[in-house]
Amino acid sequence: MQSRTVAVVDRTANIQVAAHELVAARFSFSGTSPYAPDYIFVNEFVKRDFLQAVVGECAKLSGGLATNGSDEKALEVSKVDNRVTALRNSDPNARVVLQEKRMAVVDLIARDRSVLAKKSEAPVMVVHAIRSLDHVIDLVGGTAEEPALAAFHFSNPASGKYLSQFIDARVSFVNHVSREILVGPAFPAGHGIDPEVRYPGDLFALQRPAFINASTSSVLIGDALSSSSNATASKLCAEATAPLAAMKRSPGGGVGFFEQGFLMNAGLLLTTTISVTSISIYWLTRQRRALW
Amino acid sequence: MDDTFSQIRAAAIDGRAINIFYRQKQLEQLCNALIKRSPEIREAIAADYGHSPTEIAVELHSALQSVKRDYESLRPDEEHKREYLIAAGKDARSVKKLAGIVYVQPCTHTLFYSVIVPLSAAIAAGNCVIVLVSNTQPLVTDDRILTKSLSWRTTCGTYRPFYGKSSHLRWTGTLSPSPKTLLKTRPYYTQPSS
Repeated sequence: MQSRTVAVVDRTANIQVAAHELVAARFSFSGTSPYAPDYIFVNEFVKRDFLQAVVGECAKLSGGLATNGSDEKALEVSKVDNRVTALRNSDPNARVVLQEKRMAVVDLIARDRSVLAKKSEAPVMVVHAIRSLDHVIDLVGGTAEEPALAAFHFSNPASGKYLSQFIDARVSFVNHVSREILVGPAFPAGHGIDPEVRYPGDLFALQRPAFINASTSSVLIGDALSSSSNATASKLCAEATAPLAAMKRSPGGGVGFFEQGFLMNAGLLLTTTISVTSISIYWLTRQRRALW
Repeated sequence: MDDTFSQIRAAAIDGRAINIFYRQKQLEQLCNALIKRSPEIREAIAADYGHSPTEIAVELHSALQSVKRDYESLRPDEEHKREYLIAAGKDARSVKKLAGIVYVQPCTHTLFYSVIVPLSAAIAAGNCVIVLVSNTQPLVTDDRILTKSLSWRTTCGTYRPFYGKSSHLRWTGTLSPSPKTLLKTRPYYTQPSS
């Protein structure tokens, strides 16, 4: 079973860009790409703007979608219908924002989290509101055990860093959807992902290195093993047990919380006392001179 | 089918595809055949998938650029030098042995791309390739075009198409080049992985 592809739209995202990219990702090539986002998690504060932008982008797109023979169209329409019906069955509160013959946008409320685990090939965009970055990280992590196939994050770079670090996905893209990956199958698992090269040559070849020159450490060890004298052994041990050159770290910490309070109060008290005392001494001295 | 499989095994054991000039020639012929047939391919994709003309063009472009890039990665002079590193007294850290036989099971999304790109990458690495192209999908036109492009060579057993038992295509995103199993046992294609 293929893992799902997720997308996150944060409050700090550029909504137009996010809508444009995600509509392209979901509905290009009839929405069958494994990298088309299965679930789009949108921050509740920007969800309405995002859905409006998506509807606008879909309108632009359906102008450009080609018409073709009736067989394929019927198959596609049934795929869309089946998926929308399945979503509505699993979540009665789901709201269908847009449903056309070849695309649909559904707003999922999903009290039951397991709805979000399923992967689908139909060109249906499923949107789910989230409360915060931590909420979506918990949601994605809690609904599947294997890493997501890909994740698209739309936010400012700092949040993008946080999301890409903690949402486990084989490849993450921040603020854009790499169009090259929408063509063709998913990248081979377990190998590095370079969007420009789908199948690197290393995939089909086995490493068979051959060495003709002995490395320096090999020479050293060979000498040591063949000499069998105490001097070599003790030299090696001395080198091994030389102290570690530890990196100097700053002590950190700084002034503690309670120490700060103490020092501030002490400072205030002392300043007040000293200034009052000195002024009163000065004043008394003057008065005493006057009294005498 | 048995005959074809044993021919492929023979080709793999011979190491026919290791020769870099042979690989170059194969890729040249593949590329030229695809270029020659590209109008038919585009029509077939349009008929089977209903993608827009730009999407078809993108798929064609990505696939052919991939083939051309694999072709350009074949450099006979460097390959020769790499082969003779040990003879020249230098360490050969990055010498590779090819996998032998690569079995490609494409996915239904953008079938053309998912057949051509791993095929050319595997050939460029010097392997013999078995491509599973099923008859029972509703993509017969595409298959015929593909097999026509691939079977221009009749002399070498590596590209003869065979129509085996029907097995409906399941999606796999990964390839499974397991050379040992394929060379030792009868290489019937395995159940589609789910």
